[in-house]
Amino acid sequence: MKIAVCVKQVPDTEAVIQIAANGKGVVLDGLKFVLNPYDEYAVEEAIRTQEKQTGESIVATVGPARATEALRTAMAMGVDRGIHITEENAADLDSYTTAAVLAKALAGENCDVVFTGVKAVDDDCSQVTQILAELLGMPHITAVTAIEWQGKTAKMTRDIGGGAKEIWEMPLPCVVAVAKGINEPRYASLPGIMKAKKKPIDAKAATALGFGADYVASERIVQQTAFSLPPARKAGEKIDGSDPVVAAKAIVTYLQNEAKVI
Amino acid sequence: MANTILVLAELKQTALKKATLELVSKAAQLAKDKGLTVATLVLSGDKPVNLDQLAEYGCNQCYVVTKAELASYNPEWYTQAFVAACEQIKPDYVLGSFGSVGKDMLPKAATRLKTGVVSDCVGLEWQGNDLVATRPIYAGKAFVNVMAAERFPKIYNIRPNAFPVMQSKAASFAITTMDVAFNTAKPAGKLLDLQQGKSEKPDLTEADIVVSGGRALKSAENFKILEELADLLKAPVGASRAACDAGYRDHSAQVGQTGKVVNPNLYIACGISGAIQHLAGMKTSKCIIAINKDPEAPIFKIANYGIVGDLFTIVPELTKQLKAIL
Repeated sequence: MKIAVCVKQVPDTEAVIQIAANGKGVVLDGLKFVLNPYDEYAVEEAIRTQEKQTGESIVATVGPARATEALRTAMAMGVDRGIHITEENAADLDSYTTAAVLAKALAGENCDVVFTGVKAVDDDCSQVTQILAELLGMPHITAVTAIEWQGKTAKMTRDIGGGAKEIWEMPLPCVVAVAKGINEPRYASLPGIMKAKKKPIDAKAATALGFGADYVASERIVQQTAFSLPPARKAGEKIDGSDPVVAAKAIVTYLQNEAKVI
Repeated sequence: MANTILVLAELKQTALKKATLELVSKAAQLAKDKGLTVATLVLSGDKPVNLDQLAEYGCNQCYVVTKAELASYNPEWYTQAFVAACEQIKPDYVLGSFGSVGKDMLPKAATRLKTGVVSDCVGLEWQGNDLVATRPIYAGKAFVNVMAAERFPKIYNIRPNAFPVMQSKAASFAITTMDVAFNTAKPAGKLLDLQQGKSEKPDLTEADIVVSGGRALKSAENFKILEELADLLKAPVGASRAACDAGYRDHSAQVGQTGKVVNPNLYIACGISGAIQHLAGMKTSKCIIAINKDPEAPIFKIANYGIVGDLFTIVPELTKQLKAIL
């Protein structure tokens, strides 16, 4: 089985986000970058699938030079090889362009399954999975919490919120966005990290895939125009809750008069 | 018809979801300034009920596609129906709900229509003749304004509860049935089974009220204290990452940057300290009540009403007092 997983390198979730002086972006200098937390589940699922089904695994990303680290992390966990489409202005890529580049990068691979995370924790768009699938001519499924491989098909459980679950039969090939909780991502072992340094990464620019030199701007469909910080939320009243009866009464009054929910 | 703003409706069984009424209300508000027609597209397997109510919220035209293939959500058949409808209606703008259907399907449908989607909009206003959307990034640590390029229709996927339901009677209203021929040769998944959630409560991301607990609850068993309160308020129960990682709640209950982002009118945080990543998942809540033993807990910096005390005594007492009046 040929298994691909698409990942993104993003700022660590501890990061304090600041707006650039010209208001046209977020300050990325000085931030710590990591493999997108949701992608860890996708990488783990790719590796487990390879362990069960045998075959080959590939991890792919579009990103600046530092994004190689995300590929090495995935390879240290066990993925065989990487594809890095280098783009220093990756922050300017919209969901469509990211997916279009990944689709071209994977076009010749003829994968049986492509795994992704449900979203990237920087832009929170939740679109690349579906666009990638559409461009590859494959069906997709999102929020998957369990998979049972059955040869040319796979039975997958999808979380649809409110505690409800759907059971799907997916044909192969397909693109699967796995949800948190589908597995416990392994920690990369020291031998794994050492081995990863020698695993191959095919690195190239998007122009090598046939995109024009100005593709970042010309392929873009959704344009980000201005960035701002959220309105500061001020602290409200704080009361002493040492007497639960008094505290509860105060909350009830608050719910009636201020929050107006009862 | 050109100059139409189209709402992609979502149903719960055969009834329109509240989120759909939110979108129609917003569409009506946007349409007013520009003389647009407000239309709604309803895709379903069974004949939907009570569509006339759409006129109360400003909808002029309702298109209904009723086909067996649409009995339950399927990305391929819903995309085909939506694309066919857009090719007939030719809307300039489409509003969808950023819930489990719209969020899953619209990026695929947009790509097939060679257009784009703006995800998770919390604001949508005219700037001159352009619609500009505001959306959170970094789980709400920042906001960005976006515009779609000159592609049509421009599709905005809107966060549930971002816009209020508002009545404004439409000048005229009509329902039109539409037929769609499906290309069954397209590869697609097949739904085998649907396992309903145990409760009738809304999903965390669409709830009006959320009751949430942190690691201070100390066990899965103790979360029953929050469930009793939540049941009274008809609210789902959320949890911090620490509580989920400790096994007290399923991962699907996690509220936060790597969990669900919720936007309720009321968020009651019990024993949650308020780590940056948790706040990212709930700080757009209109009202936040926090109960925590630690007066320095970061959550108090953003709570509208903070109670410094023991949740194990306060929450059951609160439940008891509410039972008496609800």
